Amino acid sequence: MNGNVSVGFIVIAALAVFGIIVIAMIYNSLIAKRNNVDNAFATIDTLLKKRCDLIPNLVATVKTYMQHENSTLTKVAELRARAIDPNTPAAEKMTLQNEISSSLRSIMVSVESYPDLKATENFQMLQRSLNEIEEQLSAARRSFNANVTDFNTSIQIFPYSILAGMMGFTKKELFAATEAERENPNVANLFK
Amino acid sequence: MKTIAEFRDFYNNDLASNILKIAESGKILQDKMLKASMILGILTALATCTFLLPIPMMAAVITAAVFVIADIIAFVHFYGKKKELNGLFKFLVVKKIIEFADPGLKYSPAGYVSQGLFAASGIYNQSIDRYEGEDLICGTYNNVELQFSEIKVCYKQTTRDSKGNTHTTYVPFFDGVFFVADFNKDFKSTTLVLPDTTESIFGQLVGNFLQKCNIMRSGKLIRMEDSEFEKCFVVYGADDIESRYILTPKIMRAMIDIRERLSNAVAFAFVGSRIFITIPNSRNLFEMESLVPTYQEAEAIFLDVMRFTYLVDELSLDLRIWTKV
Repeated sequence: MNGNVSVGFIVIAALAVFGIIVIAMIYNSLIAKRNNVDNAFATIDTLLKKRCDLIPNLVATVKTYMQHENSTLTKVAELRARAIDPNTPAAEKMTLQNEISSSLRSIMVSVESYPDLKATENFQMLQRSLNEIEEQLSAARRSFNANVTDFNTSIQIFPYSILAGMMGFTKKELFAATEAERENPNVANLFK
Repeated sequence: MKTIAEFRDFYNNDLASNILKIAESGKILQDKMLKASMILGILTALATCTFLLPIPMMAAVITAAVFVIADIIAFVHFYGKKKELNGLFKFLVVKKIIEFADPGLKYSPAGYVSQGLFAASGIYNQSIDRYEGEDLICGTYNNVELQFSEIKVCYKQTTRDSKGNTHTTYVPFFDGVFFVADFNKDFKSTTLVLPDTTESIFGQLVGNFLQKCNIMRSGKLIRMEDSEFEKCFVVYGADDIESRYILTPKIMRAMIDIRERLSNAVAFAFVGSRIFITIPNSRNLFEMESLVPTYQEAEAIFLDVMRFTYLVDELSLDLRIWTKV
């Protein structure tokens, strides 16, 4: 009788230890996935700052040629100043960065009308640098989306969903193109 | 990229005379081989008939042996002549076809991509105990630096039989074309894109788990967004973002097309701002198929060259719009 009680006690203790280990593994996994998402977002932020650093050089290079596009150049310089201002809220920074993307696209399209500017070494180097950063940004966004998808899947599947609910983890938003970016470009307008 | 029509013009203007030269020599060799095999065949048959004659066995054996040795000598002689003619074919025909494909390309019949580069790619984990190759093509194509050749790579296997004797065999683990080119982006980490055999055998759930646990591969498993790409390939990389920087949706599509076009077992590695591609291939490329070559043979060689140089176009390696020039 005493032997049966001892065996029963050992089995319960082993199950409890096993349960604690499983919970710890799930907890650690969720924390790691959340940190991956934060890390991926931080990388995007770093690349956006790198892009902002190119803007003064770009404006200085093109403004002597593109005098008719002064308003666009002024706008992008202002957007940049607000985007790098540490007092600007994070949500607003995202919106500003999207506007910067849109303005830079307009500038690059306008440059097509200035072959002399396009031929300068300085501009070509800038264009390559911008292309490079946009390519890296695209990779960083894809990485962010992959990490967010992994995190979102984890907090929804059993048994992770139980612990995720208790820890207050909620679904994160994926990076999506803005409405303006989704529109097909009207090529005819570019040649007006 | 040169077209078939352009090749036809090139053949008629520049190559036909060389093909004719080889064909003439080949015809002479073919006739000699035919005569020799007929004569030796009859004599060897007659020699074996001496066993039926009432002569000492030793005399019959010696007679048969003499003709068998003559057969072997004739075989070795004509094999040597064929090899000589093949060498001439490579110099007069294959070299010219490759230079026509792009004047920046050079051909070395006995050369091959170095073992160091093969090992550096990291595509295969096995130790390299025997490394041989031929038909090196190197230089620039569309201003992209590249080199590729046929290679055969083996690892050593030592077995012991029941009597305790050791036997060493060389087991080939790669036989095909190894392609190396300058990539159009700079990157620091290594990314491997390998054929996804695990998922196709074990299914997605178990396959993914096994791929994640694969300790034979350095770098972590990276899942890409393209589901068709994921079915064909498995990606290991040290840096998730850098791997995605290299493997854009366009490049992933191109890899799927390359896999369909060249081989299901094609594998890619991105190391030191270069791309490495292994393409298993059982056919011996850039060889003279018949002793009397024709236009069709020359065209087949041209298509073989284009099959690999086209990788530059498919992967847009000549597109230089980023910081790497």
